[in-house]
Amino acid sequence: MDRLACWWFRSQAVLALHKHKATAFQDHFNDVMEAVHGTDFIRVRPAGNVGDRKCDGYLQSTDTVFQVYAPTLVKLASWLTKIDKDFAGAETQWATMRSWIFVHNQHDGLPADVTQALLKLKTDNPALVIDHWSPSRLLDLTTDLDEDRLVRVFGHPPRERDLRDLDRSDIAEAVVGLALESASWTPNVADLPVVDPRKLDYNELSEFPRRLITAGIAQARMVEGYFDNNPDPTLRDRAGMLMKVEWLNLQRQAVIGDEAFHALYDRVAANAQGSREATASLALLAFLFESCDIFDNPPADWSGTAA
Amino acid sequence: MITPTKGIRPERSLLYLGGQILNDLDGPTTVSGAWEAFARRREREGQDATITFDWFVLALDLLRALGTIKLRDGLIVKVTKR
Repeated sequence: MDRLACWWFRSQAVLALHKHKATAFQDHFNDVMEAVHGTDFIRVRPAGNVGDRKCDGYLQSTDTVFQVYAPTLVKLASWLTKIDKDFAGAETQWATMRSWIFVHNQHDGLPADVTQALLKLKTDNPALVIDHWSPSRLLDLTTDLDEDRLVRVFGHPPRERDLRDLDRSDIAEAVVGLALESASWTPNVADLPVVDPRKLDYNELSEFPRRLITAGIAQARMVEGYFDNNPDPTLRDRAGMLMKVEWLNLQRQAVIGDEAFHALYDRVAANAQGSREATASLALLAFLFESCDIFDNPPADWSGTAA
Repeated sequence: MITPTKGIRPERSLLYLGGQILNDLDGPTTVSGAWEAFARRREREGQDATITFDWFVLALDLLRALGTIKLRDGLIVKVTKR
């Protein structure tokens, strides 16, 4: 697979597991399972007053009922009640069930009481396969997916081969995608600091977003050339200011690091219909990163190191 | 845009362009004449960044606002200090 696309898919896969909560996490789980198992997996949706009959997805080949739980806030009592109710409900309502899997979004592990509750279910129901899946299990599932299926789950990636032959017309489309007229422009040169090489560390970007930005910067000069030759000399400032406003809004919502990177990427690539547009969006984003329109510069006395 | 900004290089700022226009304004000229002289100068000096006619007219507006040029009988002339 194209190297840049591979980094992008990995980055998206990790982020999805951190970003999505509640039903969004369940939707992501279903997307991944459908991509991995095809028609063997059935997405179960709630209907009428019977809801989903305690099943969020069903794998036919193993008769497995999946129950997904990805709360925003962790309350121990809610977890324990949910596990008991969901399992009992599934057992009653799915006569074919041979396996029950509890899927959760806890990256740091499960509370001891929850673990004990799951183990007790196993002991009490020796005829069933009972297991739990952590977010890393879902991540593993996406690792071996072929490219077409990854595109179905995560959308079109930027590609190294496109990065090599991007031209100014591609950047023009990416800039148009920003819908610049929505931003008011109040230039203030003093607010726009110079670039600092420690910026990737300071902004807590993990491995794959770092690689994506570093790759995209290879085309920063071309993006700059596009702006230099645009008939509207104010376009560069307006694009930079719009993205700076987006960045400041994210900071206000305490969205930082990888999640901020992807939110800004989504903003630039909002209209991207294929990999070439996605690649141009990445080049534009990397240019704005390098030129410090987005993300913070480390203070002069900061001595942190790479994450 | 009058002075350089993060995204507008000095040689695309209106003040810089105004200076170039003034340098070529040796005598009364039409707007078209000033535009052609300006384009020749940019080419001679190897400045290939795009400058549209609209942007050039904004530079003329700036010179007029600063009181350095005026219109006389439909021609642009430099204002001489007394």
